Amino acid sequence: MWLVPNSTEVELLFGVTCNFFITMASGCTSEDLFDAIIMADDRFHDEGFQEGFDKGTRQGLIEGRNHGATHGARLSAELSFYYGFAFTWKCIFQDSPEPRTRKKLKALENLLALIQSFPHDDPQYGNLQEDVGKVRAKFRQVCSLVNVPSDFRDYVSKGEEMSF
Amino acid sequence: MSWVKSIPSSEDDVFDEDEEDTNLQKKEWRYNMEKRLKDGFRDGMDSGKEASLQHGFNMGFRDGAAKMVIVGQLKGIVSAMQCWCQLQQLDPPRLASVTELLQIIVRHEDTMIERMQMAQQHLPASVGDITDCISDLSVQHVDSCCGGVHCSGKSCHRSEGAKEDNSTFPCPSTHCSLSMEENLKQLLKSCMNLVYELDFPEELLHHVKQLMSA
Amino acid sequence: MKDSLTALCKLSGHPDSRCWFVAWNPSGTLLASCGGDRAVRVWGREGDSWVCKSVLQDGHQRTVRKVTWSPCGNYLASASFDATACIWRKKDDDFECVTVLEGHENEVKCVAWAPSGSLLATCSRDKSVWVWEVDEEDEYECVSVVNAHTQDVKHVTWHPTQELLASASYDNTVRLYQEEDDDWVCKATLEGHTSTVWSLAFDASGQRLASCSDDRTVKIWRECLPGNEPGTDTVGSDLSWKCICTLSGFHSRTIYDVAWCRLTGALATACGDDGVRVFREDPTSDPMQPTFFLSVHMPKAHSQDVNCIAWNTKEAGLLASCSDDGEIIIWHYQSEA
Repeated sequence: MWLVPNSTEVELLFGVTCNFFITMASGCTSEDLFDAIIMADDRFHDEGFQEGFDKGTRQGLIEGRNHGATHGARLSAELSFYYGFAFTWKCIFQDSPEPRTRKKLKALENLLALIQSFPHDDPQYGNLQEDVGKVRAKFRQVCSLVNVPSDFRDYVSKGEEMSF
Repeated sequence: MSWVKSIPSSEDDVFDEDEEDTNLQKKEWRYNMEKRLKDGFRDGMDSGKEASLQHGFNMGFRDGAAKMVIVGQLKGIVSAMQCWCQLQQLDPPRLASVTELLQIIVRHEDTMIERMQMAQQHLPASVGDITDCISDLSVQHVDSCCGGVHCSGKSCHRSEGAKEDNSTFPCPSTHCSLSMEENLKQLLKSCMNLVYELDFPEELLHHVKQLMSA
Repeated sequence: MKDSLTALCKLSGHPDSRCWFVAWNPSGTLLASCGGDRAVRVWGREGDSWVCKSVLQDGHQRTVRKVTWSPCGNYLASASFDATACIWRKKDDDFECVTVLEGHENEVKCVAWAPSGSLLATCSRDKSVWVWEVDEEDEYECVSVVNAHTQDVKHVTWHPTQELLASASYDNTVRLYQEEDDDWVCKATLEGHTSTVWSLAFDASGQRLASCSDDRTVKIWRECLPGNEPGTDTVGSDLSWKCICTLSGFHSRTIYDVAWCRLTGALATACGDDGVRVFREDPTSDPMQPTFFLSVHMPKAHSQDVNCIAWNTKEAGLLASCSDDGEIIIWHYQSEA
């Protein structure tokens, strides 16, 4: 997929460069002429290149950005979900008179700390995959500890299959 | 380089030549230069794209990530509330109100992601098409969310603005951001009410409040 | 060949189905088996023969892949393709299901009790290894989920004396885990097999680990203590194990199981070529570079793939194997040594 400049742009460019060439060519030796031709050749290419480069840069930005947005959004939605989930259970167990909450609280706090321990909005962070894997594992442990119903797990595992 | 032949030599008086021949040479010259220009353009496009794609991806990734934090957390909070209600075997109406809120939140989140995907599918084929694409998106956006009676009109103006200004790239996920944001605020409010009604800990209430002011 | 392997008894363990696994209880009096018929059976000796003492049914909805005894001998744990593991308590002559461990996303492939009896490990096709803690009231709590493997985890086993866990996977590796800050973490990855690692067995001391694979080899790994062994690059406090012996050329198909007799040191294998083999270590070889020789080979020990092999815990030379043909065979192994 690449861009074709519109006809007016070519006309303009062509006119300018053509004049330049004729000026250069008048009263020159054939060697000079040949150089001039090469120059014109390069110059047209360079001119096109610069134009293309600018537009390619802009298009690359748009394309990359759109692509990145969905990936970043998916991952963030998943991790934010874990955070909200763990935070809520932490609040519940903190106030609970129920015995044997120590292990649950510890796991919940570990999960919360884990999510905050790495820059999950940076796709070039080297350990992203690995750290996200750790978060998912911790989340599964938490689910088991708080004894969430199985239909909930089905609902969540859909999210875990997200390939990033 | 075959087109070299078409260059008039310096000795020749260009205007003495047969006009048709000149035109032909001119045409060929034009054609070849146009081709060089196009080749250059194509090479430039590739290089430019290559140079900026990762940067764009990083930017988009960060933006996309930032957008989902609140709705994602809200979904997590209400999911946990729902699990708790199920484990406590709360009466059906109260459980139903939590479940209903969760479903709306999930829909809201899905819509946000769908919008971003839509933007990806509508990638412009050429620079000239970008403007078309912007208006396309605006049209769709008007159809999908500004057709309702609650439309303030503000967001519609915003997308029209984008149509005129080629230099600012549309980030379609921000389309209609106002009403989406208002919607999210509403969901946070509903969540707060439920936290209060179902007597969840104070700390949770505080956390949802914080999300609201974020 | 002076060493011999004699079939003592053939049991139709799981008729019209596959028999996947057999396990001796700690006192060596009972043998538990499991299979594709979703049942666990417990066998006991009566005179010269072995009879089925109890059938554990209705615990699982799908194939029971592995079964294991608790160190005290009063509990059985079963791992099933229905994504759960069941804990059964011995009650008089029968067993009752006391707990169902849920959490794995899909097929649970193995379950193993730590020597202390307070920890249990499970592994699954979902690539994860779970460690569970048991309290006095028979309550199980998950203490860790470890996602170290990149593929299906086939087997888990504990070190005989330490709290060290080993797992084998479809990703061709063996991994070792230890507890660290309330979490179980992968401390070593043993690479060397070129295909799925199906099973693992520690020797009596726990200094060596045998692994068997789809690549038709058995590898013996040895722990290298930091700084003590030449030629190891141990980093920090992480474990370092290296392969000190590879048994290749003996098996013509996948080796599904390996068992290290804790009484005699003999190594037995169960193979996809239907054969059962017993190896012994050459006592004159360097313990750091041991050589093993084939002591006995019983070709066509079963009519189909041999899935599991298990040495009796108390009676030296008593060996049990089971197969895809649904049969269990109890063998007597005798060596001149």
